[in-house]
Amino acid sequence: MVFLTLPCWIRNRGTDRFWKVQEIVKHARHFRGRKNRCYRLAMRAVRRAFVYATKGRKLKKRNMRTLWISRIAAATREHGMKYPVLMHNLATSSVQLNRRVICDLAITEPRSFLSLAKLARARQQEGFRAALGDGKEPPGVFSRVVMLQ
Amino acid sequence: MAAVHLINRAVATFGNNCQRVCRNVSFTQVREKKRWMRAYTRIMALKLKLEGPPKPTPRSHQPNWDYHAEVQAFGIRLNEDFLPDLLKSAFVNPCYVQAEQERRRALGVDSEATALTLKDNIQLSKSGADFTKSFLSDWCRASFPNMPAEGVESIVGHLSNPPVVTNVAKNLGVEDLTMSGTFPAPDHVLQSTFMAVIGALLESSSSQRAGLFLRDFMVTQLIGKDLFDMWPVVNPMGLLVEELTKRNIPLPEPRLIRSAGASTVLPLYFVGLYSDKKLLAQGPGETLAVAEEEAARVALRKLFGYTENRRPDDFSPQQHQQPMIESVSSN
Amino acid sequence: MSSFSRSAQQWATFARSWFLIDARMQPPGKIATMCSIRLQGKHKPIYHALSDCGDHVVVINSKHIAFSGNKWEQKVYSSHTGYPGGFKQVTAAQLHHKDPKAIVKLAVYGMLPRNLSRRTMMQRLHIFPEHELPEDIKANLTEELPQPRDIPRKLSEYTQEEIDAFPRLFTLPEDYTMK
Repeated sequence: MVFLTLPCWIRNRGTDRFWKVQEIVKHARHFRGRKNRCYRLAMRAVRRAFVYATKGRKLKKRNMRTLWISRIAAATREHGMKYPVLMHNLATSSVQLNRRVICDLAITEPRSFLSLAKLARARQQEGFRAALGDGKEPPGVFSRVVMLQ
Repeated sequence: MAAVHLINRAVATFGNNCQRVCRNVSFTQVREKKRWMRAYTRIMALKLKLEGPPKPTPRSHQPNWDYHAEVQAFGIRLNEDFLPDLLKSAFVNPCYVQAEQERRRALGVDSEATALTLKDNIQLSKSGADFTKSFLSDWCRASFPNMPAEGVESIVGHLSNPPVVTNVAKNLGVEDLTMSGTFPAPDHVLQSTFMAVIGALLESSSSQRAGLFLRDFMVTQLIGKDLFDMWPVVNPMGLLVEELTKRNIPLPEPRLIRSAGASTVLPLYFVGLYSDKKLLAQGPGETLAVAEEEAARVALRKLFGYTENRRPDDFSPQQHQQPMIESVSSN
Repeated sequence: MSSFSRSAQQWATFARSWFLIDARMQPPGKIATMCSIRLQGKHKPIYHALSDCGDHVVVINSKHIAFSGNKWEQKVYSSHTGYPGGFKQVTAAQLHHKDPKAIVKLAVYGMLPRNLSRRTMMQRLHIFPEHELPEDIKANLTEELPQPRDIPRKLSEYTQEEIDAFPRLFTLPEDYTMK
């Protein structure tokens, strides 16, 4: 580096404080209290907020799944079944819908959801009959009980 | 770093020949915040505040614009065969011709020597609009055979009114190609340009291709649209009674079938319409009158076959479209 | 059935319904579970914790609830007034004698989530000690929920023929004297 003049050299010392502050404070403008304008406070708050955001990205997936499950459970109970029964029997009937899709169906397409519930119920009854030793199929019919067990 | 420094020295001492080799290498690169940036951003923000955002410039005034290539690409993008001259004249609006003539007069160009030989799109636009109207009403009549004429009219009216047409036109990229007197092109100009494009398609290919074009781009605008958003029926009960008497079905009787929170400020009533002891339709509402009106609307939707859970319209691109088009034209 | 207009559909989806529960001879915990699910809106597929989609619940006959075991004497409701020596403890029987709504109310309150909407949900719970309801609440009701437990018949409700026809393990001898 070549220092041509003294003022140039003086200007060249250190980084520009304004920009350093702005980089932090721009993330804290919506915070409450002095945190949104004082650098010292804002820095701490922003660091904490970023830590929360990082953790929240993982937590969001978990929370959404919990929400879907509680919604599906609510819709399932309308049809006189319990959530685990529905999910297990759908899985054994090779219905490969995930919880998000089933939840969307329960909200926007109740009839489709009802048919899913009916399918699970039929599968459950079939399983009961098979377990009780009465799992005889009608002649000439391949059933899921035989296929999957 | 030291080696670079040495080379720098060498460049300084030895001749121009070497200097040309190293000219692009900057040795004084500094990675930090630019000092002028603070003042510059402040000035720019102030300017934005005082003057507002900059005016939009037409695409044709921006670099890399080849009108001929763009017009050709327009047809290829849509997978349609346009006659290039016809398509070009479809984009020329009368207001553009007028503006151009005035501009020439102002510049003092001799109108005799260099005559403006531009054909505007009035004819094409008219033929396109006529075809659009007839095709859409044929299509509606074929798809909803139980719909009365007013309903068909209002659906067609909705599909061919400026907001819908300009939306389609903008999304197909007609806006950039439109030759308009003013920029940005007003809605009615865009609409007539789009109609002219349809007219050009009608003349370049066949009416069948134009019909498929309309079906793919205009009719799809109906998806997710409620019937009574397009067709404002003030008295649905009256219309229902009229329709039922036309079909010799006994008149509907409203009955309260469910209610919740009747004495609260947020009540809910379900009113069912029974005709000949059979449930026609039921509708919810915050008062009995509103619920009854809603039930009448539901019954009308069922009668006209415009329910939300109706069979989806067939937009498949195969050749077995033929029967549909024939049935349309036979209607 | 969904050809409703959007506004009507919205109104019907988010309307609050009113449930009636008869608590006669029912365990308060079971009643409270049913109540808390409905108050939170967890019986609806549109449930969301922040969307305030709970329903109203009316509990009648809260005076005639039934505790199993010796809970009436042994179950203790504790509270603290905040003053020194202000720790109060009452048994379930005493509390029920003082306020016949309190046991059901406390059970429901304990089952709701501990957040800001807890008090709002509690406001949608209407408890009545007897089976009479005011007219305005009666007009709101939508649905009666089935009781979680079958009510056993009392001996006084059996007729003499039924008692005689009841199968007996043994018959007492004629000359047997009760102490």
